[in-house]
Amino acid sequence: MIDPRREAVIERINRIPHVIPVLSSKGGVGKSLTSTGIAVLLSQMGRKVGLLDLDFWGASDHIILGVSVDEFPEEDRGILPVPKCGLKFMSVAFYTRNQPLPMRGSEYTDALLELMAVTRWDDVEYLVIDMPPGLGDPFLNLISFFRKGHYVVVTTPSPLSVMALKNTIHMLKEQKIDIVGVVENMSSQESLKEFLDEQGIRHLGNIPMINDIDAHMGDCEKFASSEFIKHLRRPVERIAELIG
Amino acid sequence: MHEWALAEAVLKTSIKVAKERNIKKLSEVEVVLGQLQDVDKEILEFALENMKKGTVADSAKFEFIEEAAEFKCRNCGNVWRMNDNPIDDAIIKEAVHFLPETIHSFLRCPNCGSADFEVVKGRGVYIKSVKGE
Repeated sequence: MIDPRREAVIERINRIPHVIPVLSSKGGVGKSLTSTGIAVLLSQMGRKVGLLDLDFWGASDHIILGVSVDEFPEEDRGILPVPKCGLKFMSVAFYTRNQPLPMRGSEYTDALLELMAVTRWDDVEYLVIDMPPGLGDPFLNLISFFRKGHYVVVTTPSPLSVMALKNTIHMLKEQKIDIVGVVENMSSQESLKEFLDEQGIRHLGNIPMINDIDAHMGDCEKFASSEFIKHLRRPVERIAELIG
Repeated sequence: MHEWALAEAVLKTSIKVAKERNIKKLSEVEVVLGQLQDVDKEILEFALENMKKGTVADSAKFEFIEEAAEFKCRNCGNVWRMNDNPIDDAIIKEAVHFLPETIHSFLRCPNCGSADFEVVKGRGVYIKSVKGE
């Protein structure tokens, strides 16, 4: 049996000039907020941006942006990502209707291939990808399909996250993947600067703990005006400068 | 229709396989259509006939083989077919049509109620064979 989707996925990926996967092997560090924030800020800078939520087991970007999943995305010779907050958005949540999606790793791979094969990003210049945590099938698929991506790693200053950060950097370096840099979340200072300098990895900036972030979710304007976005602006400007 | 995107994938892959096997002219491509995804065969065929023009597949015949969906529970080992418990809900049918893995959001093993089952057969669209000279 020959799987026709792989060829379609490779071709669709090759049409996108800049892919920015946002990841961490540790959960709960703020990947979804960071990736959604990067997409919103790049869009505010006038770039044509897509946001793809690949966290199939815990899709949440639609909640941050306030995207309703009550309707399926439109079809036109493929599936059209949903326009929202000036960007194009795609998530498995449109098809699960917020129901749990229990899947094995091989099934995750099938779902990824299917979604990537039929989603039309068209004129998108920057595709930001929100990844699930861990170094399992989703991560291995990611580095296999998006070898030319500009990876952003998210961490907190907690020793529990730093260990995961070290492992993520190790894996990306081993695979000769471009790491644009690290965003240090829930941190009042750049406490990991020295550690990252030693690793030869850029510290893109820190975002302090934002206590009222929940009140800024579910609406584009509210999210865009949050303290979180204010602090993420400089790291995103640096990402844009670095990848062009 | 997202069948057009699937047709594009089938055609491009057939052309790539032809190139790899040094086939100058494709004569037949067998395409398996899994019951679970419920792809519209007529639209897929129409799209392929339109898109193949001017390619190595210009005169190729696309043969479609329909495959019934079968599931196996990883928890209790129960095996059942989609025809035993057809999906009636139009929204679930549509969701599974777009993304077959969402079946895990909506279907449970009829024997033990587990969501951990395998789609053994009839998931989606695959190419069974590519022939030519």
